[in-house]
Amino acid sequence: MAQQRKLLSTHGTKGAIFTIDSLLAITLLAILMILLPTILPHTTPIRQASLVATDAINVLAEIEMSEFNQTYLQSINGSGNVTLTNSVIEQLGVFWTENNTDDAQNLTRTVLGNLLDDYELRVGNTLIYGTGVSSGTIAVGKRTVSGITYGRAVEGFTARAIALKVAKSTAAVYYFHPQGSGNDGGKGMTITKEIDINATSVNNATFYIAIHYGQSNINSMKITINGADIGLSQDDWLYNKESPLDSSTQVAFTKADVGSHIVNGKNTIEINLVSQNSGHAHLHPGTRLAVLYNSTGLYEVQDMITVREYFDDILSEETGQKRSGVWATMPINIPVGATITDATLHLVANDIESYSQNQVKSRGSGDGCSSIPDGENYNLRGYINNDTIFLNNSPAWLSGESIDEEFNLTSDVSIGNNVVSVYLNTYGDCFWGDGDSILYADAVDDQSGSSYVEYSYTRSPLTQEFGKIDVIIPEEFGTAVSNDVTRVYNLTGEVFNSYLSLATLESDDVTVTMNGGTVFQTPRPLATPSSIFIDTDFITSPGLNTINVQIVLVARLLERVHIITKYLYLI
Amino acid sequence: MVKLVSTKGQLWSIDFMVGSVLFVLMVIAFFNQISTDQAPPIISADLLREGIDVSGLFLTTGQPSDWNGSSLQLLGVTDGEYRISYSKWNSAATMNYSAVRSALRLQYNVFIFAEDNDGCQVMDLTPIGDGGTITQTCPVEVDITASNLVPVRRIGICNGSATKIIIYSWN
Repeated sequence: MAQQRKLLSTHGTKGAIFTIDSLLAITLLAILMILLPTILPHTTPIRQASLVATDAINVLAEIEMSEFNQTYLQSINGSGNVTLTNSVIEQLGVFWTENNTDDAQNLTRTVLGNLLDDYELRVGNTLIYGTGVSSGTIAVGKRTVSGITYGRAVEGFTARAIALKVAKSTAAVYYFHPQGSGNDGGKGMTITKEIDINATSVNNATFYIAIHYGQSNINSMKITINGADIGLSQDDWLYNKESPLDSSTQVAFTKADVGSHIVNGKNTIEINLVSQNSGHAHLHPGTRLAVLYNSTGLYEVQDMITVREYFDDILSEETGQKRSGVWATMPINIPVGATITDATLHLVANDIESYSQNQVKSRGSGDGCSSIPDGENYNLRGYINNDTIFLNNSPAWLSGESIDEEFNLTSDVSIGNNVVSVYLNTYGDCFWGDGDSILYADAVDDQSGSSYVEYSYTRSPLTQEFGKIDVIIPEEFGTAVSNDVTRVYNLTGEVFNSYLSLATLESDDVTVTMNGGTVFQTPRPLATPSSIFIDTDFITSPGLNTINVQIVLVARLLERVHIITKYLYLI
Repeated sequence: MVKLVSTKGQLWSIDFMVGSVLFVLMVIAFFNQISTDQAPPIISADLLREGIDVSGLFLTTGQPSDWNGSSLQLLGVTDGEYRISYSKWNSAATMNYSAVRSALRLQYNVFIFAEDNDGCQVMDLTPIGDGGTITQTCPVEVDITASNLVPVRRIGICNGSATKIIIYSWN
């Protein structure tokens, strides 16, 4: 019996051990299945997460604060120190230094939204924003941001003046402001502009030309660059019509690709308007040469700004009964907040006669002579805006037939757009010069002996100017002929200033508003410059801007509006 | 004595059979899980590699960098800094699938699209590969008949905003 129990016990034990073996194997397999996701190769989630993390951090480094809409920027501008040219990651760094968690979280959430499933964004060891990272694989994307220290201000310690050598692609726009002759026919006049382009390469150049001439064939009007005719023929003019104000004269506009004529260094541009039968040959607002080029040079941020703008050389020639005379305009642009320290008109002219009022009246030739009231037959006139600089017939500074005189305009210049107008041996459509009349300028080879306006002002440099380069970008609005143009345009970067460039067929009274604020109104006849300065004070940048241009008189035509914008970019 | 031995042998046999059945079932379940939860490793790795390669190429400028329809050698639709070029993307969207496939040097099928936070398309949809049908665009939904499918997700910049770019590769 005892042997029986022993046998049963032995057999039962053997069977149980076998079953336990199976259960153990099953348990091991079950554990293996549970651990399978971590044991098998995990290339998909790891590489995927790594790619997305790298993308996310790079995108944060690429998107600039200026790319957000105004509403959002305003929502964080109140509480945070926002610099529009910062990348998002730089801005997050700034928020981090300021311990500004709310804006940092808001910004991260705004940019990344739900692009990532689970993520955290950290600066150093500080958690900026996180959705909560579940257990599992973690991929990390990193990016270095320099120049920030926790608890220290990022800006405000920058030097007041810096000079940096920079390379950039930019544009230069050389304006031919309204100017002309006093020739009521005859040989006409020649306007000469000397420019010096300091470029590593010239990419392209476009010449915009707006003229008012008599009834000669327009093919007689010659434009040369460096001695070569740019080759405009009658069919090349976009507009060439009777003036709506004087059917005996023509107004014309076109633009021409002159890239092949422009060279690095000195360039000479000549506009020759000839054979006038009526009226006087002159340029209308809008004549300009826009050159796109690459350059290397210095960009300086300074408290004191001095600007010298040279007049163009104008030669008016008398023929027979046709008299000569010259007139020209030149803008002076002062930004809002600046303090004007000096403004000077340097006038150099030759072959200017000394005539009394009676002589002016008796020698006057042209349609407009009768419109000059008695007692106002001045031989020489100078204005700034609608104020008088000089009204003379035979001043002491007219030596022989030459003028080389400086006029102090400091007290007459105001913030915004100012326009200087000069008339010699001519006024309106009346001319009395004997032989030639010359307003002299050579902006390259004889700067001190040229006619120019020079002005200086002090200002507080904008903080965003430091460490930036300025890049000028001309944008054509593509407007049709109209005397009332409104355009909404988007400024995509941080703007230093803008210039509106009108091309007008006739324009006595132009009003320009930007975002509802008046930036320019023609101060007196013919005094609408080819460039109208728009201060940053009127501009929303980045963002949408609404500009309106109106020419008050009916049938005075306007077209080809440009905006010339100087953007600031990080070096 | 003989009877006792016989009874003990039956008990052992049943244990063995139960254990064996459980073991076999577990082995079947194990391999079944491998085959259903994971694509065959070689194929999926290949698909994944192509998906990642395609995504990387797609986020470049392409070749030449200012390519147009006739000059295109390699298809990329950004400025090289994550910013999507509308003109390049739109050009890619108007190409036929075989041209896209050629310009991306594809071995497998692919479908690439960009979507916003709501999953709706933000750029024109590129042509879809064989076996794929776009069923709706907001959110973007596609019906793809495939043996193996690998999604790759990237991030680009579209109109100043971070944008999800999805690349499906399949065979």
